[in-house]
Amino acid sequence: MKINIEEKRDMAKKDILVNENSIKAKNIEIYYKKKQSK
Amino acid sequence: MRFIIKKNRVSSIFIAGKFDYETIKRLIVKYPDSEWVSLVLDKQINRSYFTFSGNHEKIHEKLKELIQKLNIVTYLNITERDERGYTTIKTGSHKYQDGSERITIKYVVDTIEKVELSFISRNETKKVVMEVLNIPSLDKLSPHILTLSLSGEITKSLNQQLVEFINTLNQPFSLYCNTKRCIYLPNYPNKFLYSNDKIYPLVIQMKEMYPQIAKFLPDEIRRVLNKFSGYDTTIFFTVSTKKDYEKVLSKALTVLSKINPPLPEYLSFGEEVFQTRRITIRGMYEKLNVDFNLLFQSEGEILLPLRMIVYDDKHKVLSVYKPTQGSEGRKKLIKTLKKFLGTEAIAEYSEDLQKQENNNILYYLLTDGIYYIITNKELLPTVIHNLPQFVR
Repeated sequence: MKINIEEKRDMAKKDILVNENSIKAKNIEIYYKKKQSK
Repeated sequence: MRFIIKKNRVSSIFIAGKFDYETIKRLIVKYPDSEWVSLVLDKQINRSYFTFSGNHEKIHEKLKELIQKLNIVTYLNITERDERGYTTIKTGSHKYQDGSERITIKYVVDTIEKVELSFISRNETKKVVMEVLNIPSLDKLSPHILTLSLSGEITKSLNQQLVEFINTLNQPFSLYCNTKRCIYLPNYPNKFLYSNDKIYPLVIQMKEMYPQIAKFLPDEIRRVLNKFSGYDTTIFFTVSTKKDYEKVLSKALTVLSKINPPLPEYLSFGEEVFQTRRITIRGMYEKLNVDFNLLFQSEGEILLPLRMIVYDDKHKVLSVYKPTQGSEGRKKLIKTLKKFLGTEAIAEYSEDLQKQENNNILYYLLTDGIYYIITNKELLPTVIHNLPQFVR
């Protein structure tokens, strides 16, 4: 995910935690996962 | 086993209350499946799960349209495995309560194979599902839908006549339809088969249900069942396909034509077995030329429980419990048996008697433990060597 470090800091100030596999904030959690196929 | 890691996909979203909508929305466009995530955020769906696989673009467009148009959606689960997909949507009356109405859609590539609706009572839900999934007349069904399962030709499932029948009864119901037939279940234990624009009873309570629905049944059935209307008995046709139903119906109508009310609490007709209270008759029971009515009277009680195998209109084997009242009971049983079978030509079996050429004997009475076995003369050689088999 193309989120730079400044944006991440900004999000953290708003109590929003982001990483490659999830976005978490008050009352909401969004999860992503790598799709695997055989 | 080797796994190829593909790009990320959204897997689940949980919403527990109000959230910073604007910030989150700006953020998710940088993540995959942003259209799905936006939809979930817009509709504030409490719990959403996604397992995407294969190409189901057309179905996805329909699902998005359905979710958009439904008023409140509380749950979404999309599970796909290559060409097959399965989606469940729940709707409710409040955003943060789990939904009561459930819509399940099964699909293969971009073709919907089955739609199942459960606990649907809101007219808005019916209208949206009808419009998006192309199910005509769904909004015309007035009673509460417990389960409505449509598979195959979904667009042709709900025939006007069937809708009228369901609305006339006006009871919470389940309905299972495929391309060939529908099974309609209003209140327990009543059950109907709908096929070729006709309504047939599968299980029918003659007291409560029959008078309400008699006018919907085909004439051939009404002609026979009318005499039992209002009596406290339930008639079962134990079949699952229309083809089997036709066979069983003709057997059942033959037997029902021979008997008169009052009836025992139930009569069950299958392809091979006719059952009623403490009576089991196997084989070609429709060819049985006996006095059934006698069995439903106190006089016939002495023959119960009764097991009978009918091989054709002539060959039959019966088994009954030995009466406990000694010789008096035995006399009574033989007398009743003669009346039931409509003949005096019943003799107690002995080897000497068998050796004699006796054209006056039609049935032999044999003993096996606590049972009497009554067989007609032609079947005696078979029965005598396998007595225990005939009392099971």
